[in-house]
Amino acid sequence: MILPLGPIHPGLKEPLRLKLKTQGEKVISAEIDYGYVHRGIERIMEGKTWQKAIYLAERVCGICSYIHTQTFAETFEKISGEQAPLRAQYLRVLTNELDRIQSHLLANSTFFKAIEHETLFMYMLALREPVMDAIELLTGNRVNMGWNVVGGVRMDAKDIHLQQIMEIMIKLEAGYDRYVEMYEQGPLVGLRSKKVGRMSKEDAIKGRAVGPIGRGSGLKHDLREDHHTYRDHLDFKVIWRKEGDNFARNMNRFDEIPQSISLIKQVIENIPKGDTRNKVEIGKGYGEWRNEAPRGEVTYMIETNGNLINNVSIRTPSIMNIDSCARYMLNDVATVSDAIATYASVDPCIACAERVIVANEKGEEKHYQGIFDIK
Amino acid sequence: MEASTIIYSTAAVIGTLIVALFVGLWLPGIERKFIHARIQQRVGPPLSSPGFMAPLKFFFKETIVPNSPLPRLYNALPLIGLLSVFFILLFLIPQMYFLGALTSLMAIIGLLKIEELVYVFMGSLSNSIMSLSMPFPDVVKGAKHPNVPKAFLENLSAMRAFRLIAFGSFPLYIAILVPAVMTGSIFLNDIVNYQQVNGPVLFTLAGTLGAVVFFIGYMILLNEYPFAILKTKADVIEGPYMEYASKYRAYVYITRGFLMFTLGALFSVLFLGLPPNILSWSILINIAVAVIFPIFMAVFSAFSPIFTFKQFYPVVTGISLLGVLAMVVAFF
Repeated sequence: MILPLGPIHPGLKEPLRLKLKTQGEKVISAEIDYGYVHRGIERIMEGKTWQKAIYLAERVCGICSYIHTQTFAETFEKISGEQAPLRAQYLRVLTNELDRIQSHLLANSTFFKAIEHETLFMYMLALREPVMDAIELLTGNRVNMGWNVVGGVRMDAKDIHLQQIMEIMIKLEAGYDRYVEMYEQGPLVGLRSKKVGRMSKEDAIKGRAVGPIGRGSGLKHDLREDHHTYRDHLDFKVIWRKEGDNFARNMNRFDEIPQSISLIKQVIENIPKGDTRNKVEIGKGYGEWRNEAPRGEVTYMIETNGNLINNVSIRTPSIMNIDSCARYMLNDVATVSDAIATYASVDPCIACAERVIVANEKGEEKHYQGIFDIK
Repeated sequence: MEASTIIYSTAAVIGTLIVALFVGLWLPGIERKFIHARIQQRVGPPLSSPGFMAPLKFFFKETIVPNSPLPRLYNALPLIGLLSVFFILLFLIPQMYFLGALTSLMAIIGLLKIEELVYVFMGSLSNSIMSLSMPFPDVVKGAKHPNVPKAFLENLSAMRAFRLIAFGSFPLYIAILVPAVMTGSIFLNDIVNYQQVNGPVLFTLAGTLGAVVFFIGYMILLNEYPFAILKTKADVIEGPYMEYASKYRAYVYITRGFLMFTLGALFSVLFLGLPPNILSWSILINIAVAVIFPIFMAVFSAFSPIFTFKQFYPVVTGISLLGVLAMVVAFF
């Protein structure tokens, strides 16, 4: 039998259809239908200046909106050959890591909601609130921050605000272990997440899994390692796990939060004085830039004609992660509830993933492809 | 029978039922406001909202005809469930003990079974919009599973309800039989009389073990976390209740509160020897038990994720074995 879940379902954060092939309670395989929230953002960007298009980039994702503007700006900076001033780079790291913390806490809260551990769900959201306050303190907004511009960041941060963010981080760090312990050592939560929704390292490579999803399956890959600011100025180490199950994916996110706190502290302690924005001349050209979003690798490919965008392609991490989930994690899952929990552990963002859908006209299989496959 | 006795008995029965209904309507609020919300560091709903105001509101809502093959039967099922709980409480009141076999443990178990069975029918008779194809057909070109028969979310919950009936209610039934083994009778009258002479069953080893098993059975029967497998929000949403609207949904809500009180009263009868009676001080103990049980249940459920059958079977087996041990101890 096929058990269709969605497109409107309280277990799914956003509209998509999850079709589970079941035998009793057991889920044999799964198929995912997209297409409910495709907005054609890339097409709307064409012919616009970066000053207008950056607002669209920010709205690709409602959770990790920040990294889209940074990647967009850095792609333009690559085309122009200019880099943002060092102070702006530090401020970008600060905002990116704050955004990562709130995104990881939200992702884990969604998993706890999926296994219906309401208390942990509430605790995660309560932990997230001060981080959202910190983001608001720095940028003036909680979600769509409007923080990045090509050549730097929109405005400088005041020292008092940086100190307040530092205090928020110290408080968060102090109480954080208690909540992680509740998850890591809670026997009932363990029963629902350990050895469920497994994906091997080989499958993660085949499925092109990225971010905490890939790292939870043993892929030691984080683009922050290669980013010039992290590589040259900050102490950073990739966090990864071997298990490949729901537990590992959530724990990987949990483990990355203290690291983000550490990066934020490094930034606040060592931020240099100076400008926060360079004047950038953009000519005709093509640029490609990748960054590590909270969910994994996000890529922007932009072709410009002077100050206007000729062509743009965006690849978000959810495309690969959801595909990996449908292909490898949802095979032979013991119960429908476990399948939903597994899907939630992938931290799917459907608005992100609604980029390009190509149906194979010849075969029976439908492929959801990233832009690399199309080009 | 004298007229004064008849009036006295009628007043006792009606008064007890009214008190039970009134207390039952506040129990879900106590559970959510005082326990869940406090543990979860939030304000929580108004005390009257979950059990009292919500059903009241539903009585004034528009009735929507469900997408069911037998809509009238489907709508009648919550009332059947409520009536079965009502009769359980009625037969627990000491003034009704003259009814003989109807006030035995077998009748109580039979009525509890009806309350459980109702969920199987609810799930089987509901085909809500949540599983319909929209807006794209499932036979989309390139689909992995075209032309495969489709199941509804409620069907899955009906299947779960059936497995619960077959297996999940063992702890409660075994616990109910522990006092019967100790007293050598299945009649409530005998069980109450035995305890008035020999003291409450609860304060014996068998009784204590039986009470623990009873509490777990209570949680399973009330579909509370971690045993709320029937109505998992993450997959089957509300499961069997999904399509109920207006007064029919109100009956579902009232049944839950009423069942909380009734099972508390059943515990008082079987393990404390104190039947519910408005004209006796023992009603205070009944109310206390009816309030304490949801509080314990809420504390336990606040720290648990929902179980799947993979975890459910071993837990229920273990608890059932504990119940069997209590029965064996009760023989000596």
